[in-house]
Amino acid sequence: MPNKRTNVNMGKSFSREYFYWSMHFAAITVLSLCLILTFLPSIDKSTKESLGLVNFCADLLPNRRWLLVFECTVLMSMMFTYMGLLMYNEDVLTKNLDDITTIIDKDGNLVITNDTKKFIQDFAQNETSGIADLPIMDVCQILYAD
Amino acid sequence: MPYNIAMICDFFYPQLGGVEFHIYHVAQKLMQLGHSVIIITHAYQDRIGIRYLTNGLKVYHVPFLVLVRSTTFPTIFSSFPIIRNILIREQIQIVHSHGSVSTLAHESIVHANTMGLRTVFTDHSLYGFRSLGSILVNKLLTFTLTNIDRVICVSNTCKENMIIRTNLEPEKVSVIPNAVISQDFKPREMSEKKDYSKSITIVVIGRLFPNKGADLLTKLIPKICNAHPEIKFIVAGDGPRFVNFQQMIEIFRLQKRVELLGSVPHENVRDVMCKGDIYLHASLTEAFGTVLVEAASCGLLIVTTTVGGIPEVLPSHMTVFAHETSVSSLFNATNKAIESLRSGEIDTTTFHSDVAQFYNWLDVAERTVTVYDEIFKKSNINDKNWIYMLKRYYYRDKQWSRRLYTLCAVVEYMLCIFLDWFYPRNQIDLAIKWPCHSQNTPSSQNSS
Amino acid sequence: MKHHKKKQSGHNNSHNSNRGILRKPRWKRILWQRQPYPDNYTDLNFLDVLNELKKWKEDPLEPGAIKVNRNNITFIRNDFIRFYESAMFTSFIYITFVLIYYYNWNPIRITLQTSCLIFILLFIIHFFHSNSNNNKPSSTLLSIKSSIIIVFTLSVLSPVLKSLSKTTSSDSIWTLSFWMTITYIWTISPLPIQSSINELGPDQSIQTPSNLSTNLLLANMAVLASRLSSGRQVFCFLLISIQLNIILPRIIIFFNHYLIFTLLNMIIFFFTYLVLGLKKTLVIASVCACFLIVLPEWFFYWQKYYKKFPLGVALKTDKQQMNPTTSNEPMSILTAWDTKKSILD
Repeated sequence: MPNKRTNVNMGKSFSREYFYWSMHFAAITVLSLCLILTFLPSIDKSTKESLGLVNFCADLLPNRRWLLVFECTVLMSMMFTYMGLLMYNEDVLTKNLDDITTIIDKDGNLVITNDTKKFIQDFAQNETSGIADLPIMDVCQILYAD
Repeated sequence: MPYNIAMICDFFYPQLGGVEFHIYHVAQKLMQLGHSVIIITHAYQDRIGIRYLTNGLKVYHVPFLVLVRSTTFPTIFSSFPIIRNILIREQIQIVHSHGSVSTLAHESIVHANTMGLRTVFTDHSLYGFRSLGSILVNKLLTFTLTNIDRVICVSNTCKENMIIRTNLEPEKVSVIPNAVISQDFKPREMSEKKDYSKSITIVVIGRLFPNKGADLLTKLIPKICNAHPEIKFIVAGDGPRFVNFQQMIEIFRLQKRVELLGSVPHENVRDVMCKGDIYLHASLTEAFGTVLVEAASCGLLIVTTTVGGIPEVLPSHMTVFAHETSVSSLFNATNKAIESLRSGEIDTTTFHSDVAQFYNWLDVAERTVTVYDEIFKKSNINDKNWIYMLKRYYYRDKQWSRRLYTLCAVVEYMLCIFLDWFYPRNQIDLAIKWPCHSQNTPSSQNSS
Repeated sequence: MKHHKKKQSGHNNSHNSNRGILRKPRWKRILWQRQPYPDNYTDLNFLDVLNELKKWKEDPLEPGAIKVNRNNITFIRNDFIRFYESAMFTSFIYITFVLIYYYNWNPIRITLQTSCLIFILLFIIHFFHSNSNNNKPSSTLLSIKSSIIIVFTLSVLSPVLKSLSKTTSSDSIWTLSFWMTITYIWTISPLPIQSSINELGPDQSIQTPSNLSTNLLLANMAVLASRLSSGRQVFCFLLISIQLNIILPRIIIFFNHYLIFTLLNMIIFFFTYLVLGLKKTLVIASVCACFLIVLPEWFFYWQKYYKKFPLGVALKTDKQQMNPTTSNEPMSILTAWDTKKSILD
C-alpha cells in the first residue's frame, strides 16, 4: 500500500547550518582545487587513448594556464596596490609646503580676537563646546616664542 | 604622571557623529587633567596637515586615500611610515584607537604594538554574526586585538558582544559609558507647569535609515495621530527614508501635525528638542544611544525600544520601554507615556539635574585615566616583546587564520627594521608640547 | 541578552553594618549609577552565555539547543539524499535530449510513454487517497484546465523556440546549459538563503520550489530545445521534461522512497554506461557515492568542531526556559546582536 512518505524531520531543521556548511565546503573545494591544479604538471591532451580517463578529466577541468595567469595577477595587483597607494598618498594627496590648505580650510571655524589675554584665557587654555580652530600665528607665538 | 596619548580614528571633525564628539570631549577632558593628547585622522578634502583646536588640541590630518564612508584604504602596512613618524615625533606612550570599521584605528594598533607602545581600543557599536560585513569586521578585530592592552566598551551589552566576537579575556574589557555636556542641553525655562492635556509634542531625531527604525515610524506616526488628535510631531534628520516620511504626510494629510525639518546642525539640536515633551526612539540596533541622554537632559520623557544597550542607559522613571520592535508595542508604549504625562506621575523637571549627575565627560576621562594607570601597573616587560607577540598571534584562531596572522606580523617586523634604518629615530625632530595650565609663558603677553 | 536583565535586584545589605562589615551591593547591569566595582569587573553571571555555549556541545541533557550527537547522522544523510534526488531529476532532461538529438528516437513515442506513466501513477494515487481530499472535484478540474493551457502554450511556442538561437554555436549552448543546471541546483533547495528563520513546519513534506528555480529550469529546457530540428521534437521534448521534472517529483513521494530511489539511480547509470562507456560511468558513480557517503560525515565533523554557536532554529520545545521573552522564537546566539527586524503590524 503506497503511503505518504513519513517525514523524518522530528522538529529539527538544519537549513541555516547547511547553508553555512555549503559555503565552507565551496570555499575549501575551490581553494584546494586551485592549489592542486597549480602544482600538478599540465595535462597534454595528445597522449594515447589508453589514458582515456585522464583525457576525460582534462576535458572537464579548467585550463591550467588561465589559473596561473589569475594567480599571478592577484599577486602583482597586491604589490601594485601597496606601491601605488604609497606613491599616491605622497605625491598626489600631499600638498606643497606653501599651499594654503595646510593652514586653513573651509571647515575650520577660526577663533579671531584682538585681546591677547582673552584669547589665552578663553581659547588657548580652555575648551569650547563647539570645535574651533586656533589661528596659526597665535599658535606659533605660544609654542615657539621664548 | 602625565601621559602622552594619541587618539586615532578615521572619523573626526568635520564629519559629525557620535564617535567624533566622543573623541573630542574625552581628549579635551584628558588635557584638563594634565595629560597631553593628540588626534590622528585622515585628511578631509581641504583640511590637510596639522590643526590646533581650542585648548591646544593638536589634530593631524594625514593625507590618505579615502575609500568609502570616510574610511581609508585598507592595507595592513601602508600607514606604518607616517604613523611611526607621528608617534615618535610626539613621544607618544599610549595609542588609543576608536571604531571597529576604521582602518587607521586597526593599523595603528598593530604598528604601536610593534613599536613597543601601549594600546587601548574603544568600541562604539554592536555587530552581529550573520552578515558578511560583520564576519569580516570580527575577523579583522580578532587579528588586531591579539596584543592589545585594554579595551573599553560603551555599555555592558557592548562588552558582552565584544568578548564573544573576539574571544578576549573579560578582565581586559572595561565599561565606560559616553556622556553629554549638560550645559548645552538645558531644558527650556517654563514659568508655569505645562498643561499636557492641551497638546503634546513628540520629537524624533535621527538618521532616517531603515536600521534606525524609519519604517516603523512611518507606520506608527499616523496611528498615533489617529488615536490622539492633539499630538504634534517634529521629525528631524535626513536619510534614504525621507521620501517615505513625505509620502506618509501626504497620504494621511498630516501637514499641520507633523513637521519635517530635514537635517539639523548639531548646535540647533537642543532647540529642536526643547520644543517637545516626549522623545521617540525606534531604533533597531543601538550600543549606547547618546541621543537618549541628550533628550533626557532637555527634560523629555523617553519612549524607546529595548535593543542593544538602551535599557542600561537611563533609569526606569525616565523611560517607557517598548519590549518588541513592532509598531503595536511602540504604540502602546507611547500611549502609556502620554497618560503618565497627563496624570502627572512623572515630573520631567528633575531630569536635567539627574542626567547632569549621572553622566559627565570629566568622569569618563578620569575612568579612562584609571584604565591607563592599570596598564602601567600591571605591565610586563615581555608584553611588547616581538617573539611573545608572535606567539600570541600563532595561538589565536583556527588553522588558516593563525598562519596568516603570523605572516602579517613577520612582515610588520621586517618593515619596522627597514624603517628604523631608513628613517632613523634620532633624525626625527621632537614636537614641542602645548604649555599646560600651570605654565603660562610670559612671552604670550605680546600682542599678536 | 534579555534573560540577564531579570537577574538584577540589587539589595543593600546595609543592615549588616552593625556587624562592622558593609557588604557591597550586587552588581547591576546599569550605566547611570557608579557602582563600587572597578570598570573591568565581570560579574559571575555576566558571561552566562559563554558558559552555556561551552556546555551545549557536550551535555546531551542541555535543553533548548541542537545536540551534536551521533543520532543526527541519519537525519543528515536523509537530507543529503533528498537533495541528491532533486538533482537527479535534472539528469532526465539530458537523457531525453540525448535520446532525441543523437539517437533520433521517435519523440512522440517517448511522450506517449511518459504521459501514460504519469497518468497511471496519478490514478493509483487518486484511488488510494480518495478519502483524504475534500475539495476534490474543483481542484482536479482546475489542475486539468491549467495543464491543458500549458500544453497548448507549449505547442504554440515550440516553433519559436526551435529557431531561437540558431546562430549560436553548439559549444556555447552546452556551456550555457551546464551553468544553468549548476545554478538551478543551487537554487532548488527551498532552504532560505537570506531570510531569517526557516518557516517550514515539521509536517510539510511537499516543498514547492521557488520561482527562480522553475524559471531556470524552463530556460535550460528552452536553450537545449533550440538545438532540435523540428517543431514536433521541440514540443515533445518540452512536454517530457516538464512531466519528468515538475510533476514526477511530486507524485513520487507517495510511493516507497527507497525503491524509487534505487530504480531511478539504476536507470540513470545504465543509460550513462550505454552512452559513455564503463570507465566514465565508474568515475561519475564514485563522485555520487562520495557525495552521499563522505559529505554527511564532513558536515557532521564541521558541526562538531567548527561551529561556535547554535545556529538557526533550536529545538522547538514547549519550555522556553532559556529565553523568557514574549516572542516564541528560541534563542539563537547568531542573531542576538543583529539589527532586529521591524514588525509592521
